[in-house]
Amino acid sequence: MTKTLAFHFGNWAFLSLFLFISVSYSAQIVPDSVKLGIEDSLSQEGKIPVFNQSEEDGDDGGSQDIAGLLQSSRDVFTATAGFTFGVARYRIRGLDAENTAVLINGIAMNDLESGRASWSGWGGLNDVTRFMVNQTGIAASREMFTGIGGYTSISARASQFKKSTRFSYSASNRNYRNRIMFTHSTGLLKNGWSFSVSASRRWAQEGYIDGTFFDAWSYFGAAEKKFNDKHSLSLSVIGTSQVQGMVGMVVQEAYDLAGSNYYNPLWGYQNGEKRNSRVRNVHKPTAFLTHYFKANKSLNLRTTLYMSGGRGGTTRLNWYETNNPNPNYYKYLPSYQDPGSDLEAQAINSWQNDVNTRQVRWDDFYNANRINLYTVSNANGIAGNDITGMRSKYIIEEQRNDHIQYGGNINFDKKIGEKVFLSGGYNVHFHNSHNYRQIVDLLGGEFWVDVDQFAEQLFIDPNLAQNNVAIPNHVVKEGDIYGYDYNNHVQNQNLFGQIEQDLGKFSYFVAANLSTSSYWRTGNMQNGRFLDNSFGDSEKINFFNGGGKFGMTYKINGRHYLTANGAYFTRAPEMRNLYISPRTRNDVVSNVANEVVRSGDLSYFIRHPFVKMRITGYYSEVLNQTQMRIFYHDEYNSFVNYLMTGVNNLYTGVEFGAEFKLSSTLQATAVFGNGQAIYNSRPLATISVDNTSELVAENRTVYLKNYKVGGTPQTVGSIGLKYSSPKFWFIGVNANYFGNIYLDPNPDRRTAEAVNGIVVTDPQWNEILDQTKLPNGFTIDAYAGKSYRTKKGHFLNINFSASNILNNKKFIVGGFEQLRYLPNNISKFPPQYSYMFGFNFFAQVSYSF
Amino acid sequence: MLKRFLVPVLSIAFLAAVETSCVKRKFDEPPVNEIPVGNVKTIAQMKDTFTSNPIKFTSDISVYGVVTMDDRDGNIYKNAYIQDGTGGIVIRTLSSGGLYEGDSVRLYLKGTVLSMYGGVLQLDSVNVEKNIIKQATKKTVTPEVVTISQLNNSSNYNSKLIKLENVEFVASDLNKTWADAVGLSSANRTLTDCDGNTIIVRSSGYAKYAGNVLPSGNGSIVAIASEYNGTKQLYLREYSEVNMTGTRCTGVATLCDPVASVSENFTTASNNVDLQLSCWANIASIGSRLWRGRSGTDANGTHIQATAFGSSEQSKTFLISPVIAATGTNSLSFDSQVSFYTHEAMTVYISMNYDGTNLTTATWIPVSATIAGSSSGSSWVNSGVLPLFGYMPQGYTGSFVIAFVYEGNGATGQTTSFRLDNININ
Repeated sequence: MTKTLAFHFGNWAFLSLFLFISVSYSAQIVPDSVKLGIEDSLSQEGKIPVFNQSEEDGDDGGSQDIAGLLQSSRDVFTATAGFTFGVARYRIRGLDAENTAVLINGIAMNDLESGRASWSGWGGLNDVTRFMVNQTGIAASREMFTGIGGYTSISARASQFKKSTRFSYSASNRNYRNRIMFTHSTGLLKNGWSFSVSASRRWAQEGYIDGTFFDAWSYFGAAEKKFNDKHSLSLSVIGTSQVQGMVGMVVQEAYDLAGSNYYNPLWGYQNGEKRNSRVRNVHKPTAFLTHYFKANKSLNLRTTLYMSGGRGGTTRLNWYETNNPNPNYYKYLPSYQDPGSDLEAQAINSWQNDVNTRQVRWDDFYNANRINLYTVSNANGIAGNDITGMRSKYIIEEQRNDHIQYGGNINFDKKIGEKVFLSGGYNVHFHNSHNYRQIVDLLGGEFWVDVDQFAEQLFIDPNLAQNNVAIPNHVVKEGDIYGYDYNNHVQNQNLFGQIEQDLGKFSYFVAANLSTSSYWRTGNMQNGRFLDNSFGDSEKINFFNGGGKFGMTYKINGRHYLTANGAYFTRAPEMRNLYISPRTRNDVVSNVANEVVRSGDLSYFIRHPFVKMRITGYYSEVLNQTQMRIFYHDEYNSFVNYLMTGVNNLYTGVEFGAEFKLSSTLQATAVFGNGQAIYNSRPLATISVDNTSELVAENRTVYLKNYKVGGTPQTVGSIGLKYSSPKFWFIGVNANYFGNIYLDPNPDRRTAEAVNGIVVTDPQWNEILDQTKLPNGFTIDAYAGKSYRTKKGHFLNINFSASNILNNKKFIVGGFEQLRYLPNNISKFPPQYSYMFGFNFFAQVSYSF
Repeated sequence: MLKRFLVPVLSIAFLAAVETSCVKRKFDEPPVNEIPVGNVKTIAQMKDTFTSNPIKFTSDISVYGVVTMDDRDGNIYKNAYIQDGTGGIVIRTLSSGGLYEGDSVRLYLKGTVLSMYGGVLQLDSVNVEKNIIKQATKKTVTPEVVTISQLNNSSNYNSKLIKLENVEFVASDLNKTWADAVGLSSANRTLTDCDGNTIIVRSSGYAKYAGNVLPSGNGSIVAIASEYNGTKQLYLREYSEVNMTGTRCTGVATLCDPVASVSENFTTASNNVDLQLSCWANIASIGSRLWRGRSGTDANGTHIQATAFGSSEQSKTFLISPVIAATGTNSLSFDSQVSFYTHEAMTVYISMNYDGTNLTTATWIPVSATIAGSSSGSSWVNSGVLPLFGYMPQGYTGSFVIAFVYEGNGATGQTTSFRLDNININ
C-alpha cells in the first residue's frame, strides 16, 4: 500500500502549459442526452468519460501489470485531458466514447446497444479501479481488439491487491457531499486464497445544483484461489446502486429569469420539501469468474465467464389532458408572449418572484388528481366493465431499461523467444434488454389509462389510441407497465490475433479482428397504431466485420522515439441507431450498412530525465454511420425520431504534452491540443413520429458537410506548476484554457426544406444555417496534500483540491440546438445549455495500514 | 481467517452507522386542499346576477350541474357546457381537456368571471383543477326536443342541450362536408324543417367529423343551442347523435332502389323554383345554382334550366337520374336547348359508383351525345337514342345513374342557359 500512497495524487503532478493559440474547431458528437431522447437531462456523474475518471475519483495510477515506457497512463496529455479537461467534456481526438473500450477483468463493459461504457456502473470504488491501464489512440492490446479511441483496462482480481486496509472520508460540494470508503485485502494467504472487499457510500441531500440529491452504494468482493503454479480461479463481483436527482438543461432566458446559470427546472416543493421529478436509479452489477492457466513459462491462457444484470431507469412527469407540467416549457416563458404585452410582463414577474412558476408544482398535481373523478368504460377490454375513480392527470413514470447479459472470453498470450509476443482470443456476448414504461407514482390519483392522447384526439376510431390492443382501455396503477414494452437483443462475437516484436531499434505490432453482430427487437405490446409491426420479433439484422491495425516505434536513441500507428476496420452500427421508432415498432432503417473506420497517427517522444514530452498528429475518419436523435415534440405529443444514414466524420489535429523537472522539488507541465472534428458528408434523414406510421420525411438530404462536431472544446491548453516537499507534502496549480466550442448542428436546419422560400440574401438564410460557436473558457485549479506515517507504519493522508477557483459561472460546457425549430423564427426554440460548476472542491482524509 | 473478516464486517456496520443523514427520497403527500362549498346557486340564479359588465366572483359560491358537451371531439376548444334543471352555461377553461360529457360537477365560482360573448353568457377563467369538483360520472341529460322555430324565437335555450326532429340539410349544402377539415376552418351548414324554417349548424375544422359529408336524409340531431350576435346556431356535441337517414321532406337526394327505366318530362316542376323530384338529385358541387323548373310556351311545355347568368360565381350543377338497373341494352335519349348562348355548358355523364354521397369522388364517364349548342339557335335538339352499354364493363349487371352537368361562370361571362326535357332512360 505504501507504493500506492506514494503515488497518491500522482496524476495531479502533471502541470499544464497553456498556449493561447486560438486555432480552429471543436470535437465530437451530440450530447448523449439528445440521442437518448432525454433532451434536457445531464449528469456530470453519468457522463461517459473516455477514460478519465471524474476528479473525485482521481487517485493514482499506481502499480500496473503492463508497464510500457510510452504508455498513456503516464502521459501528461492524457492525464490532463482526463482530469482537467474532462469537466469541459473534452474528448480526446474528438472521438465519441464508443471508440474507447473499457475492460474489467478483460471483459468489455461497453453497453452493447450504445457502444459506450458508463463509469457509474462501478463508481465509488476507486480503491479497486485505480489499478488500471490506459491507452489512447490506436494501441496494442492483448485482451481484445480495441478501436481508435484506445482502452482502459481494470484488473479486479483478489490476488493483485496487497494486504492492506484503508478507510477514507471525503467531502465535496459537487454531485455528492460525502463519501466514505472502506477497503480490505488479504493479499495472498498461505493456503493459496486471497480475498478483497471494498465498499463505499456517496451521498448528498443536495449537490451543487438545487434539487439534486445523490445516494450511491458501491461494493466489490473478490476471492481467488491459487491451486498451484499453473492454475488459479478468481471470482469477482462489482456493482454500484446509484440513485440521483437530475439536472435539466434550459434556454438562457430561463437561467436569466431565475437569476442563476444553475437553475434546475426538474424539482419543486412538495409539502415544503424539494422533490426532483427526474430521478435516475441504476443498479447493474457484474460478476466474473476467471480461470488463469499458466501452461508453461511462455504460454498463458485466461478464460472468463461473466454475467451482469439489473435495473436502469429514469423517472419523469407524464400528463393527460392538461397543460404541460414542466415549468420550463417554452409556452410558459415570457418570450412566448408578445413583446411589451401585459402577459409578457406578468410572466417575467412570476418567473422572477414566484418559485412555483420556476419549479414543479407537486402540491397542485396532487390536488388536481384527487378531484378528477372519471369512469373508464369497457375497462381492460371487458365489455360493460366500468371503473370509476380518481384518474390521475399527472403522474411520475419511470422509463426503464433493465438488462441481462452474459458471455465470456478465452485469451492466450505466448512469448516466442525474447522478442516476439503472440496473443489472441475469442469473446462472445449475449445481451437482452427490457425497455418499458412503468407507473411509479400516481400522485394522489387512483389510476391511469394506457391510451395515446394524441391518437385519441386525432382519430375517431378508438382502437388507434390503444398502446396495447391486447388490453384495451387498460387501467394501470403503480408498478404496472404501460405505453411501450419491448426487448432488444444483441449477440456478438469477436476473434482477434496480435503479434508484437521488438527488433531493438525498431518494434512493431500488428493485430487483426473478425466479428459478427446480430440484433433484433421483440415487441411485447401490440400497438393499435402499428398492428402489423409492433408485436413479436423483428427480423434479425446481421453484420460481419473485420479489419486490422498496426503500430511501430523507432528508437532514435534512449531518449528520443518516433511512433506511427494505423488502423482500418469496419464495424456494425450500434443497435440504438437501427430502429426507426424502437419504442413502438419493429421497422428497421433501410440501407443499414457497416461503419468504416480508418485512422492514423504519428508521434515524437522525448524521455529525458528533466523533460518528458510528446507531440502527436492524428487523423481519423468514421464513415457511413447511422445516427439517431430523438426529441419530444409537443405538437405531436410524442417523440420524434430523426435518423440519418451516411454520416461521415473527419477528425484531425495535434496533441502536445510536456513535463519539466525544474528542480528536485519543482515540476512544470504544459499541455496543448488542437483539433478539427467535422461532418464530412451529406447524410440522408428519415423522420418518424412515435405515434403515427406516416413518415415526416424520407431520404431528406442534410447539408452537414464541414459543420463542426459539437459538444467538446476543439482547442485546449493547460499549464501547471507543482511543488513537492521532501517532507511529504505537495501543492500545485493549473491554469486551463478551452476554445473552439461549438453546438452540434441540428441536422434538419441544414436542409433545403429549412431554407425553402428564403433567398440567400435574406439574413434569415444565415441565421438558419450558421453554426453557433460558444464562448471560450478559462479556469484555474489547485491542489495540495500531506502524508503522515505513524510509528506503527500506518499512513494518514490528507488531500485537497479546488477547481474553478476564479468561480467562473459563465462557462458553457454542455448544450445543443433544439431539434425542434421554426425556419422563419429560429429564436423561438433557442439552444439549451449547461454550465460548468463554479468554485468546487474535493477534500479527503484516508487512513491505511 | 475469522478475524480477518471480522474487520470488514464491522467496518461495514460502522460505515452504515456513520451515515447520519439519510438521503430523503420518499415524500409525504401534501394535505388535501378542501374547496369550500359556500353559497349554492342554480345556473339560472348565477346567470341572473349578470347585468352588463363582467362579474368576477370573489366569494365562496358553488353551482352544481352536469357536463353536456366537452371538447374532446375538437368541435369546441377549451370550452364545455354545463346544465342543471334551470338552464345551461358555457364555461371557458384555462386549459383543454379534463371535463367529460356526463360529469356531474360542483363548480366553485371563486376566481371565475361571468361575462357576455356574442350575446351568450359565459363563465370564463375556469381552472378545471381548482374550480371543478367532480361528484359523479356518466350522468345523462336528456336533450329537450324543440323545433327550429322555438330556437329562433327565444334565447332561453342558449347553452342547453336540445334535439331537433324531422330536419334535414338544405339541398344546396348536400355533398358538402361539415367543415373544412383540410384548411381547418369552421363552416356553417343550414338545417331546415319541412316548413322551410332554417337554423345554422356551425362546426369547427378541428372537429373529428369535420371532413365527413353531411347526411342527405331527414331525421334528428342533438346539439347545444347557442347564438352569435343574434344569429342562432347549433354545435354538434357527438357525431353519433346525428340520425338523418330518413326520406327527405321532398323526397330528394337519397338514392332510390334501381328501377328498370325512367321517363321524365318535368311537368310537375314549378317555374323558377329549384327542381325537387323523387329519386332525382339536384346538387351543386361548385356554387349555389341548381336546376330549376321553367314554364315553356313551345311544344315542350314545362322543362328545366340551369344557368350562370346573373350569378357572380362559378357553377357546377348536377342533375342526377334515379338509379337504373343495367341490362346490357340500356339507352338514353333527351331533348336540349340553349338560350343566350356564350359557351358550351352541358355534359352528360354516366356513373356506376355514385352512391348519393360521393359526388366529387365518384367516377363520371362522359357520354357522347348530340346536344344543343352554338348552331342550334333556339331549337330543341333531340339526342337520338344513345346506347349506353359501351360505357359499362362487359356483362355488367349492377346499376348506374346518368348526370346532366351544367358548368358556367357568371364572373367570366360563361352564362349560357341550358334547358333539358323529355329524358328517357331504359
